[in-house]
Amino acid sequence: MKLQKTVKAVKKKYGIDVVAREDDRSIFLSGECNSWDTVVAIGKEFVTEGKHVVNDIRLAGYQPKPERLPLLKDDKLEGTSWDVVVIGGGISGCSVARELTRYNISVLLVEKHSDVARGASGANDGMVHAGIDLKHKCLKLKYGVAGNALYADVCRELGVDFRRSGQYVVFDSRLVTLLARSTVKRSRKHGISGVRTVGKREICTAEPCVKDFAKGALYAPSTGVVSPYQLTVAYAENAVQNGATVSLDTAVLSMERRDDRIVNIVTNRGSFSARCVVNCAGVFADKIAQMASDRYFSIHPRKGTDLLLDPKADGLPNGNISMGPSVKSSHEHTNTKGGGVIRTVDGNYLLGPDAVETPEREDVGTEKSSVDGVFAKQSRVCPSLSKGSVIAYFAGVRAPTYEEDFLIERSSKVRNLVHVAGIQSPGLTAAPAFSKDVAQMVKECLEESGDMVELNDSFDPVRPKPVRAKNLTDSHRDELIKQDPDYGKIVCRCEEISLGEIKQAIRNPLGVHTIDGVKRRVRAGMGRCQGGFCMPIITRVIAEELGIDPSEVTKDDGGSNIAVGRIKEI
Amino acid sequence: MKYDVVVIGGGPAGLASAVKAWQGGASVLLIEREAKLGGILKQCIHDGFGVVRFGEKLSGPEYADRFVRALKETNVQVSLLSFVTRIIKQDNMYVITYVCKEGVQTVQCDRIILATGCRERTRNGIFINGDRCAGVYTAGSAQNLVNMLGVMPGKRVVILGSGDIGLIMARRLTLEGAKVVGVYEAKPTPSGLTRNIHQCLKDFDIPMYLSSTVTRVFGKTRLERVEICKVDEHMRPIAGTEEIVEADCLVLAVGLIPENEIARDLNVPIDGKTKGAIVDQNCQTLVDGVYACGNALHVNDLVDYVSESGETAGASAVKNHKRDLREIKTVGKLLYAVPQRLDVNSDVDGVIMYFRASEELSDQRITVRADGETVFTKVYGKLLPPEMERISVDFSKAKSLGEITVTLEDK
Amino acid sequence: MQMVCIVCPNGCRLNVEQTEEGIVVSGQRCKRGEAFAIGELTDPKRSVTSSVRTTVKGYPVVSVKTDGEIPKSKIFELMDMLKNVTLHEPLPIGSVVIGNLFGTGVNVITTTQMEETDE
Repeated sequence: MKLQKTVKAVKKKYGIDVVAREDDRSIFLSGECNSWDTVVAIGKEFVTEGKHVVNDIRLAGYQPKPERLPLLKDDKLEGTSWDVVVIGGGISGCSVARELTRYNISVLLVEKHSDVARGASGANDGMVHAGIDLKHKCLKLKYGVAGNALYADVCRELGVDFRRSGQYVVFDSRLVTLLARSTVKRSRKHGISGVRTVGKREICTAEPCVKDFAKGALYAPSTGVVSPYQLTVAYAENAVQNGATVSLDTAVLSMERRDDRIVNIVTNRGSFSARCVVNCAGVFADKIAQMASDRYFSIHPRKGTDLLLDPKADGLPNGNISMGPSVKSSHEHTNTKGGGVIRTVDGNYLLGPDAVETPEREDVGTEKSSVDGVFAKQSRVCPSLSKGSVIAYFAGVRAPTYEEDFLIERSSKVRNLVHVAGIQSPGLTAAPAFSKDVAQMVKECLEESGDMVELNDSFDPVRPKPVRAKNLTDSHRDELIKQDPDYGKIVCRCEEISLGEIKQAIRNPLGVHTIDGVKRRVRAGMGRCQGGFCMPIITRVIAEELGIDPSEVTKDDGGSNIAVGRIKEI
Repeated sequence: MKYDVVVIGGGPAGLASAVKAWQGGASVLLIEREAKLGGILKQCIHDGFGVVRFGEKLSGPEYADRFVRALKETNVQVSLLSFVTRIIKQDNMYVITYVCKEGVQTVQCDRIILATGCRERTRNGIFINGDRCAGVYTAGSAQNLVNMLGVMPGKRVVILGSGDIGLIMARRLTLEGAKVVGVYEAKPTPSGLTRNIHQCLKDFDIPMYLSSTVTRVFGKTRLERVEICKVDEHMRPIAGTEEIVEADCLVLAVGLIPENEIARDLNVPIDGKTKGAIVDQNCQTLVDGVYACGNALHVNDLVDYVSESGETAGASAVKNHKRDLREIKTVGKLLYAVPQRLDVNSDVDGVIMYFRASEELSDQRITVRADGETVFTKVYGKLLPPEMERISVDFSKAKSLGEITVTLEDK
Repeated sequence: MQMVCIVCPNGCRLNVEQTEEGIVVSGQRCKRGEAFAIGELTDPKRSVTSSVRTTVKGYPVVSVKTDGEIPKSKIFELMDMLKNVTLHEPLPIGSVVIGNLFGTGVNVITTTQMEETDE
């Protein structure tokens, strides 16, 4: 009854005929629309408590681009069997894989790209959220707050830099400052500690760049910053260290279900079986669910663009600031959510992100409109910043469901399938917490079909922190170089990264064989010359370490070769 | 260890300055980041170097080799694969910390010569949007791939920027079998030497498109296409002029920026126009004892002048006197002039000045005046921003050296 | 006709006229300009720089050049010849790689001093 009412309301509001049906888990929509924003908006109209939305409304005239698949084809995994397979090597999959290695089970993580952290986990601002903007009774709140509390410990174990730097949300009107008091109250109720309102004088002292317009602010001390890809890599490396197998360039192509179980998984590197399947496939989580004939939610891809600023630019804040709701600007139409200026853990500054709904799950190309829009909106907190300070920008595609909450649960239809879907902001914050619960779900699943799962006695939670020669004292650095002279040979002059650090990343058990992978791990190529000087050298080092020709070295996924061949051979 | 002079950078400027400082009687240490001396010349295998200095058309490695040989005749200490991490001033001396394969080293010196060269502007610096694909390289990176690593960055190439290195790479890639679709330049006039436009583009029928730029790149793994746009007089893309060109490689020759990280750490004031240090006629920066030369000082188009400024720095770094600096002001259509200061307590005859016009100009007169009195003047039929001019000015003729100006005006 | 002299970086803009007395060149700052212009009209020549492959450690390729000018029409023929050259030992700068190109007496010589490096 209620469903048909919504159908009518949608017809009135958007002029679109939507066919809606429901079952015990989901509302299924079909129809056709002329704008993608309308497709998404209609999907949201049907969000109902206790049900998921599966939105199959088509965008008229739109042909979805084929999914990007690895070029590689072999039978590395053919005929193998595993206790658990984790699909997807983002922060969700890697953290889950690591938590699973606490048990005495065989764990396989498959990732279709040539490296982990290639989706949204590699292209976000690295903010560890306090959770002050989260609604009551949602998984985002539960895991966001719990995850935030675990961060310092997890990062210490995994040898990843983390700084609990706090965050100001600045208001340009007294009225909003009053409203902020309810946020303080709500935060206290949600167990977020230390949130308070801050007067004009305090905010202007802490962050002089807002002095011309700030009337007050909200301060959340538990906000932190981390490198999202370094944390993802660290989780993956620790998983491998504890016995997990990570298979890169491996895409799940189909699954075979028998009764209520997945019995066979087909990839470009062979088919295999697993007693439990964990779906951490990010923007493809609903496609994976569909392969298991268990599609009961939809992912609507949302692109966000971040701008990287020259850390030496004038007018930058000291820490993280975002602009609170503004009375003056409330009438502006904007797709931009939260965001602000973030001082990254590496001491760089990011502006962003924005949020643009898109039917493209893999399009991380940057758009002028987003670059201009993010700068215009997010630089409001530091008005004297000039656009010339932007030194790089990147986009990532988030994977929200229509319910805009995490979906972390065992499938009710497929007994050996766990979904970790809809992981968007604050997914990075929440991962240390939800990965533990997911590991529990997997354990229960395995125990239903077999023996009790035992603990892995040799599990070592500590992933040795990669050496960063630049940060050592002179005497420690000297000692290190005397042990291995490669640490004295600087390859990346802008970030001061040595050959030893690059070789260490390549030789790690998880390893890395791409230019961008090296960059994500050791920051070589992230400085002012953006790899202009060191890229050819790193190409040579990778070739030498892997015993391949330099023309076979790739920037990223298979096919992205730096060169098209050796000279004199074309 | 203590040296009179430490030279940072073993390219053409550093090599020339080290030899000169040693010849002047100084003990010299040369610190070089790479495994071989020569700097960027090692990969500049085309010819045309040394015409002014040697009257010969040498290739880059040959030009460097002459200076490396000269250096080997001296007692200059050379530390290769060495990277300066810190410089502090202590008791009127500079303490330089650097890392090399032997460990962390510390040396002291009285004078520092910065010969750190320049770096290239990147894709992001010029706001090209689109995919994150392989095949987009700065011209210097592409040159390194071809000439040092021996690999081809692409088979169908678009070059953005008509500066010399863009033109040189157009010819180089063509010779090695690539198809260069075109050289695109956002400015209404070419940026490289006229000679290079002829021998690199016209000889091989490579088209050049002016007032055009690349606005977007497309490609899933490697570059597949680029979007070209016409630009208006403010170099902003004009909507509706987009054109798609198929290419698997985009080479960016969009400008060079002096590398001045060490200078900044030493609080050396930088000229906003040259992006290099402000110096007097002896290449000494405004910080006593710190010298800058070569492309770290300002981007040169001829290596001969890079060596010349290196020699100036090397020769002066062995002298010792209290400076009395006068500002040299630029007037008229000058992009910049170097030096920006005149030290009236040292030799003021034969002061070498370099300048560039701010736009393409005909029938111009350059005049150097001291307190209103003309000390040098010269007429130019044609001046182009890409072609740096060099003049030698004798300030000793001037009655007084108060206010000094360099003026470029219509003849 | 107009022509740009490519002999040196000055890039003199030449005026070249074919008269009854022969080719008359003006606009050059030195006498090499005249020779260049006449050469361009009668028998254009170029010096060529490139590289050849090596099997020596640290030198995937080494730079070479023609030690004189060869006919412009022979440039790509030379490039094809260079594809068949591979050096197997470190050579001093100026070593002849291909002698007497096309019977012109011009040689291809190396332009990099190859040495053992510690890279």
